[in-house]
Order: sequence, then structure tokens, then C-alpha cells
Amino acid sequence: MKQIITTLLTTLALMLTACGQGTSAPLKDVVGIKINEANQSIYSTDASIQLSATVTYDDNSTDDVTEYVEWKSSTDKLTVSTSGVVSVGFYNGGDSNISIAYETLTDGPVNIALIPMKDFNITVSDGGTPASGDQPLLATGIFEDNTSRVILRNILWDLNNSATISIEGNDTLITLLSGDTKITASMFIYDNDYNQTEEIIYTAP
Amino acid sequence: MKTLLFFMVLASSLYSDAKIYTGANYGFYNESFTNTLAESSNQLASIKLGYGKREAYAIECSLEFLKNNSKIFSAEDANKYAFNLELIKAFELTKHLNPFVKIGFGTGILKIERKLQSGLSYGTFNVGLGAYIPLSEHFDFEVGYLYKAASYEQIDTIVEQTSYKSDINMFYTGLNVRF
Repeated sequence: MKQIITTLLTTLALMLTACGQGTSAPLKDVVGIKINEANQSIYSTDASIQLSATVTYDDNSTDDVTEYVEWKSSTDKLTVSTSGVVSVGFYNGGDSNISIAYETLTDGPVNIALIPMKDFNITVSDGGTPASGDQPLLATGIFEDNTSRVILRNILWDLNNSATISIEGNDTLITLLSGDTKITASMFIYDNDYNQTEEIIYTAP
Repeated sequence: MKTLLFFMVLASSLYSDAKIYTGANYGFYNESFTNTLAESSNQLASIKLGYGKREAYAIECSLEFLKNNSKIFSAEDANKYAFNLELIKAFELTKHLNPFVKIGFGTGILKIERKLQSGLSYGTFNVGLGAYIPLSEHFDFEVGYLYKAASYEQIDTIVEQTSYKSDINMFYTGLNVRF
């Protein structure tokens, strides 16, 4: 009992001595969030680009918050995932503003310009020697900035016989049959302002 | 059946002499955080309302004010306000001294100024001991020690959500009026 009272009195004395004091260095606080990338552009037949976001704290430290913030796109011409991956939509051109938010904090917009395609062509890359079996099928777009690029999105293939098309990663392969195959490629089928079709006849041995 | 009778007798004895009481406490507290290097010491005050018998049992609720000068959660941490509900078991050691132990829980809030949070709530588990010093049938002094295990609402830094915990030691004295 005596020990308890002694302990209590000692604690009381310490508390009285320390009264009104306390820690004066608060926990680090958020200053703001920021999209790391400046305005960007992406070709309308490319797949995606990655954006990232950073939080800055009042002790000048930073952290990657790409996976923590909410990503928003101003239009459906470009979509943005929860991890900041901006993907091309179904349209040939148009801009989107990408912004981020976390509760009351926001940043952006960052403008992503969708570079429209002017024209395109399709080829079967068989090295000049027609052959049956799997052949790489190549669609190449010419864009408004006169760049030529392999088309990765917004293309719909069609065949007039039972030959098949398969996509493996970024490669498109056609399994040809003997005889003539009419290969038709349609671009931007959901874009009423731009849809274009190309076709070739391929004769396999 | 015997147990039921025992509790009925116990309850009747409690209710027969139990009174509503009110009072006020003043004291000092020291709060020490367990998962960050931070502490705070300052004055406390509370008003309370209870029902019970000074030398037996009571149930008590209190509104508590904790003055705060420390800057732990933000550069502008404000004073804390809390509500507590406690059960008290008292004993009649002598006619002039009724020691007691108490157990209960509480909840509190404080204003902070963080980018993502303007307030912080916390919960406490309370245990304490002390003594009533009767002055008359209706008045008594109270001295006590209260320990609170506090757990705060999470602090949000976007990549981390951290809930801070602390030990709060309180010494107080007060005056009670029993009706």
C-alpha cells in the first residue's frame, strides 16, 4: 500500500512538474498531390501510356501515390485505370484531361492529346514467298504528324473464308488456307466521324 | 434460486440507499504515446452525474475537458473533450474514508488542422482508484487516480493509415453533492 501511494505521489509530482508541456513536433502532414507527367500525346491506335502521382509532405519527403489516388478522364476518348494507365478509347482523335483526386486534394488536369490516323494499309509479311500456315499480318497507320506506326488497337479484321486470325501480344497472325483469301480491316468502327476499310486479296499456295 | 435471491437482496440494498449525485473534478494528466515519440501533460476538469451509494456501488458518467498545448497530430491540436461511463465499487474503510475502484470506457474528440482531417476521435478503456472523503451526508471530497488506454482514429497520410495509441495517467480531486 505504501509503495502504491509513493508511486502515485511521485507520478503526480512529475505530472505537476511537466504540466503544460508536450511534444511540439507534429506528425508529418500531406501538403499536396501531383501528377508527375506534363501534357502528353498518344497515337489513336496505340494501347496505353502510364501516368504516375506523388504526394509531398510538409517535411519535404515524397511518396508514390499512383495506386492510392482516384484517376479521372474528362472524356471517353481516353480511359484511365485505377493505377494511372491511360488507354485509348474507340475514337480517332480528340483530347482528354486527366486529373487525380484524394478526398479534398486534387491535381491536374494533364492534357492527353489523341493523335488521329490519316490513312492505313495492311500487308501479310511473308517475305515475298506466299506460304500456307501462320503468317504475320501487319496493319500500319499514317498519322497526322506523318508518323508511320504499327496499329495495335481499334482495328477489326474480317476474312471471306475459314482462315483464322489470332492475336498474340502485339502480333497478329493469320492462318491461311490454300487459294485466295480476302482480308478486310476496318478501323474505328465506333467512330462515326472516321471509319475506313482496307482490303487485300492474298493467294496462298 | 439462492443466487437469484442473493442478487435481489443485493440490488434492493443498493437501490434502497442509492442517490443521484453530481460533482466536479480538477486535476492533471500525462499522456504518453506508445507507437510514436510524443507526450502531453496538462490540466483536466470534468463534471459528472452518477447514481449510487457512496460506500457501495455507483454508475457514473462524466464530461471531461483536457487542456492541450502539445502539437502531436498537427501544428494546431486543440483541447480534448471526452465522455466517460464508469462503474464504481466503493468500500467503507472508516466513516471518514471510502476507497473505491472504478472501471469504464470513454470516447473523446479533439480538433486538429491536418490537410485531410479537421478532427480526431478516440476511445478509452478506463480503470482507476481513489477515495471519497465524506464531509456530510450530502457532500464529499474525492481524490483519485485514473489510467486510460486510449486509441485514436487513424491518421491519413494517403499511403499509410496509422492509428496511434497512448497511455493516459490522471490525478484529480473533486467535490460531490449527493441528493
